[in-house]
Amino acid sequence: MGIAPPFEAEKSVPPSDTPPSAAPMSDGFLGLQLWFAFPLVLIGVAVFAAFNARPSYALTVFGDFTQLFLVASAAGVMFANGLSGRGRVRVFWLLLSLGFAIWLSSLLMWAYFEVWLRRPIPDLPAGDVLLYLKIVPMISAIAVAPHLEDNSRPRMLGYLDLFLLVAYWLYIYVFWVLCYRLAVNDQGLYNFHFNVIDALGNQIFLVVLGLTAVRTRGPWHILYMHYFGAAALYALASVLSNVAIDLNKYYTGSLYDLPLIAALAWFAFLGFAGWKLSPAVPTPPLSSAEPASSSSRKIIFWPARLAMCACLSTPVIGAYLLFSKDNLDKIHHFRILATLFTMLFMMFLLFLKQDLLHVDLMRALDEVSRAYANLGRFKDRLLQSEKLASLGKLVADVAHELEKATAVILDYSARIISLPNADEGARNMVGKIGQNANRTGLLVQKMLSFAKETPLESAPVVIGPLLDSSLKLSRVSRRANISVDFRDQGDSPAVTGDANQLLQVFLHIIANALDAMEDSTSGVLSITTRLEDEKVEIEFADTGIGLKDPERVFDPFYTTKSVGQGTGLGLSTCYGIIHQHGGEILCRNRPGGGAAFTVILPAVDKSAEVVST
Amino acid sequence: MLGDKSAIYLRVAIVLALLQISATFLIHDRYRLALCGDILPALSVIMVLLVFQANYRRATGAVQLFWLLNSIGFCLLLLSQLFRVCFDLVLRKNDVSPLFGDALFFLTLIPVLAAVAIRPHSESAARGLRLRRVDFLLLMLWWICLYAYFVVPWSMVVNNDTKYNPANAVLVLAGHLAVISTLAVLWWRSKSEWRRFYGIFLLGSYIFAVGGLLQNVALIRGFYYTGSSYDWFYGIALSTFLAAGRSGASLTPLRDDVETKQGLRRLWTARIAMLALISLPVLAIWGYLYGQVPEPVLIFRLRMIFGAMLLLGSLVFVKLYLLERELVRSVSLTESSLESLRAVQTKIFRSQRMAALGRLAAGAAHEISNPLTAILGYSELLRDNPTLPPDGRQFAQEIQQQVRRAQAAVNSMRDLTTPPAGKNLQFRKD
Repeated sequence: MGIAPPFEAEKSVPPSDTPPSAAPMSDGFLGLQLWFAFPLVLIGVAVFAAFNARPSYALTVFGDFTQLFLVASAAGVMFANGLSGRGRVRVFWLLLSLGFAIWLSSLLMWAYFEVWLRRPIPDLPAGDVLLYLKIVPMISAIAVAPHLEDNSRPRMLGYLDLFLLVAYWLYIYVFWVLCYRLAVNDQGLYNFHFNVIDALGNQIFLVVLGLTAVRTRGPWHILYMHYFGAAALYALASVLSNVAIDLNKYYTGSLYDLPLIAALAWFAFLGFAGWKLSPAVPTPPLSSAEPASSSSRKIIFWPARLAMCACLSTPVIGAYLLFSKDNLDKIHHFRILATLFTMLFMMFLLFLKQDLLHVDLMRALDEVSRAYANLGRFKDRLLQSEKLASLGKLVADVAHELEKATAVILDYSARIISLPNADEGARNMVGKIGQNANRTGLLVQKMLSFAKETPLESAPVVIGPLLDSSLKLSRVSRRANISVDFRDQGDSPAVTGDANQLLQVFLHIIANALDAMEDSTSGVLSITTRLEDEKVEIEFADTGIGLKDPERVFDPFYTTKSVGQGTGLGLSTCYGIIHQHGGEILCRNRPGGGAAFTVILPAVDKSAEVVST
Repeated sequence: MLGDKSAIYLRVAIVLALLQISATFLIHDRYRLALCGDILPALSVIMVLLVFQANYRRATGAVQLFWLLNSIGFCLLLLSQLFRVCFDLVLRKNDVSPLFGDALFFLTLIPVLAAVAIRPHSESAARGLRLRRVDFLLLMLWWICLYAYFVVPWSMVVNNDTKYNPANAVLVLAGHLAVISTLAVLWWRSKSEWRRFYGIFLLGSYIFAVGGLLQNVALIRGFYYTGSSYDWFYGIALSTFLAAGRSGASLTPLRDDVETKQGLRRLWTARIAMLALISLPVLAIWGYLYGQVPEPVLIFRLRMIFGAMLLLGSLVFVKLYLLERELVRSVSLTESSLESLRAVQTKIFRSQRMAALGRLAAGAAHEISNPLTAILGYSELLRDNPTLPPDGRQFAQEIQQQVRRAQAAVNSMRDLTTPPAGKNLQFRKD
């Protein structure tokens, strides 16, 4: 982020999170032309010099400088790419730039000897090690798989495997090459082995790159192809220059350096080509998500399997060393020690890996148990809900039965009244029977009307005035010991529904709250409305005795009141009404004492309302 | 019956121990003394094995594994004892290489150590055992590697008693100390019957260790002979083990007071196993750079270490593979449970409307039953009213019947919704 993207003007930049400011664009354009012109000029001069110039100090300086410049610019651009990228892409570019930085330091050493100390072909184990090691971050960068979208699996484990492989790569160098320097000093064997192993490293690198390039699509495919081309050219160049060195025909700036310079220029170009891709994390090259996830699993596992083979091969190598010869020479001793130390280090890394896996597993198991507890709770709720639903299906039958019974009762009571010699007391009783039968009939009617899915009267209802009128209707002001704190925070939100039914719900909740605060000296009923996420939230909080069993309040048959004191159809009706409105009703005991009921209803889109009116 | 048998075994073992002690004083002929000193303990070991076997057959789960491992340990002890009998008495050789018998004796300790490490008294430890098997195996192999590194070459590669005996003594002592300290921790942490059992077992191991140490010291100094007073401890320790076997005859795992996190214990077992593994190359490097040993010994040791690393390293990868599989499994479990959670939620959502209706109906049922009860009361009064003519009473009777019918209908709804008491509340607490 901190670096102004200098090359953005050149190509059409895909939409990124940080839109580039206008100012650096023109600078970038100019800079870009310079960046491209300069290496072209350099290469031109190098070609000319290679064909025409005699080996001289100036040619050496020029050749070294060209290589240095190209590698440095590749490292710099890749580093900038890394800084502006995110996630895997960032790691990819940073690893690549690390590889080129290592390369650069090896070249610097070379140049120091050739240019500063004026020694023709320096012999530098330290520089060789660096040259050899540069391939490790480069391969690791590909193993990071920047072309895949970020998955949630922790990648720490994957990095540990990579680290293991890096250690193994270094071990091979120490075992196979460096022993000819440290255990016995044999320049010829050392050079031979180094060349072999360097070529081997290049081949492995090419194979990995080629496989990755073939398997990707889209812009990353092109990038990988460039990368592959540059790496292939480089491999060729290094073979060529090694042969030239062996034939004693090599000098810096000679014809044999031309492929190398071309490869380096290609690498530097890679950085520029990749700039476009740096913010493109969310565009996976594979079209559907499914193959992406399966191949990402493969990507995660192949370093692990390779690391396993590497780990297990060390004791085998050690045992081979011991069984192949009875008397140990210097190189054997050196190699055995190297093997032992590598084993130690690898075991340490395995220890870390195991720990990480264990921690992951513990977390995963925790998650599983939590998920299952959750599932259990919901299954319980489903059971409850399905029971109630089956009851709902029964309603029509029961209502029919009840209606019939009521009709018969009314009929018989009429007949009793019509009897000639019924006395006053009996008539009175029959009258009461008739009353109760009528009430039953009414209730049944109500139930049936609900069961028949009588469509709700659906109109926009503004909550504020509705609450006002329900407060008035419940005659709160008559109660001296209770004060009301009504706050309409949602800017008078509106819902769609039946105003009458909603009023009944509010009335019921308020009546409940008032009953709960009957015995207190200074109760407060606070009503708050809020508008949140397209939902209207109405909270009724009282300071009364609270709910005995907040979870069961909405269950049918649940009441704390003595029989006959119940009002309306109870809170379960309120529940039904609110659910029919697509809302929710919740209750809880407040920590400071008292109960709080919350009614949540979907809000009406106000802008739509404005359009319609 | 078994209890009776084991009591007999115990008495026999005590008698055998006493016989051995008296033999030291009474018998002066070396050969006969060696006869006593070798055969009497062997008989004691057989007694111990019989008791352990009986326990093994009776127990289940982790406790059974505990007795099995102990039985294996004592089998090895018996073998080493028989080996000694063979060499001392049958072949009458005194200068034969003692390696095989000693190695068997050392190997005794490893299954015993594993047995106490599984913590048979704890139920939760038994549950987590499956995933720790590889770690246990690793640790057992590690002990064997130690023996092969320090002791074996001095007898197998070069025959050097002055190096062999102290190395053997130190390693056997280390094994004993490991058993004793593990047992001490278990004794300290457990309670009631298990505590008593661990106590006796600890005492037995302690006597065994002290006896072994004295024996080895005497051997190094050169005044040990089979049947001498240094062998007394052996018999006493075996009697104590027998007593321990008796007291542990019918033990079952206990529920832990403090439920330690299962994963954490596994993590620590795995860490210790891994540290043991790391110690092997350290040993090799140390021995290679600083060990003043003849080259054949060095090469033997290195070969052993490389072989062991290959074996143990593959075990580690098996373990890592199992861990990874477990991880993938648990992740997929979480995913599938989330999926079914979503399904359940959709179902709840679908049944919501009908459920709301059901709630309403249930509430209504409650309200309806009030007037019905009232009607029932009045009609009863009417029926019993003497002033009413008979047909009026008949009508009242009819009304009652209708009310009952209505009540039955209402009750049919009620039966459907009344939740089974208690169960509902339990789930809602959390």
